[in-house]
Amino acid sequence: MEFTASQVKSAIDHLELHQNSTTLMDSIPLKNQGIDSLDIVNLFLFFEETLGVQISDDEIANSESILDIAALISQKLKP
Amino acid sequence: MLGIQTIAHYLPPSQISNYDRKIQFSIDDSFIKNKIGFEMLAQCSETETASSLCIKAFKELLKKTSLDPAQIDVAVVVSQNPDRKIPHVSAMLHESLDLKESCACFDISLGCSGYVYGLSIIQSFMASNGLSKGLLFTADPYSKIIDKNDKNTALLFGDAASVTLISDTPKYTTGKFTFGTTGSSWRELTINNETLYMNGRSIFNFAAQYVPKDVINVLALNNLSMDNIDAFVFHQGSKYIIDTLVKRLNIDVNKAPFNAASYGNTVSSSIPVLLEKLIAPSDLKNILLCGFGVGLSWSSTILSRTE
Repeated sequence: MEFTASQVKSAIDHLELHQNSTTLMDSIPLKNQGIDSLDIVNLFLFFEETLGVQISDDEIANSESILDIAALISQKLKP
Repeated sequence: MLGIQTIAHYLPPSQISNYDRKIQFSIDDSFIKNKIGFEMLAQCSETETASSLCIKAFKELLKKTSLDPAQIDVAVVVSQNPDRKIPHVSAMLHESLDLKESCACFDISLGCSGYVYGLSIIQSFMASNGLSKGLLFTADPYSKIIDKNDKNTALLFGDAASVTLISDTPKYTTGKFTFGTTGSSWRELTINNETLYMNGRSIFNFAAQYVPKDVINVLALNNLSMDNIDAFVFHQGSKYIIDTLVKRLNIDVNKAPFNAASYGNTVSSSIPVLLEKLIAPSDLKNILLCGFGVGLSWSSTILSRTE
């Protein structure tokens, strides 16, 4: 199952982590776009709870951009 | 009927500003003010200890009430940073406060959930032994175990002590309590080589997932609903945690205060320091308390005004 950048932005909106997620650049690290480490932890907790996936600390550290996150979640959702 | 008569606290006057450490930890003003929420951290001196902090809190209590130390039947200290491994801090307080020989003294080893556990323990002990006046102290000087270069902990913890007078003429009584532990996660908040280690992500996830469930549980246990609660006093772990709990529980933000910006996360003292301020005017009928942290453990209860 493909998890898209748009779905990552929807989660950001749901958690109110950014004023306007449509302005976020998909390939730029989120920490450089006003989403800090606490928000990112919150975002991954949301994915774990809603999608039933398990994500390690290292995987979070290596997933800096929206595209990185979408790719990681897609991989996690593969049967 | 036993319950909380009054509360006093002591915050060391010395403070560390997190704004002075922005470059060291690559953070900005917004992160300090709006995320962790702790702008200043209270810090005790090198010579101060858990017992000396408790003594200062007790002196504050004496300013608020005409208490004779000879009336105290039991003194309990919640701490995981005692002056010494042996004896217990409360025995040292027994000498310093000139408590009577028949006064029972014991310590409780718990962290951020400790105040709520302590309320249950001291009241149960007093009730089963027919005692009428007890002191519940909290003091955990984390500054003694913090690595000042560890971003996960150095920006969060402050030192404080509190003392709660439990008596048979209470202002607030406690309802039923909930308790819990996820022992498989104890490694996420521990001491390694005399230094505090905290996995911030694990602690955040724990708080975000377990606390809302426990709030629902303690309300049901006491036959109350969210609307019956005038204030939610959560352990002041960080502003971000409080904000997250407010969102997850859909609480009116004004009912769940974050009050620790000027002194930090004071571990087991965070709830009583805030509670002292909230109950002073005594216009709150029901207050929900929830402590959570080391263990990882949690406990909640409801305070109800007696008048």
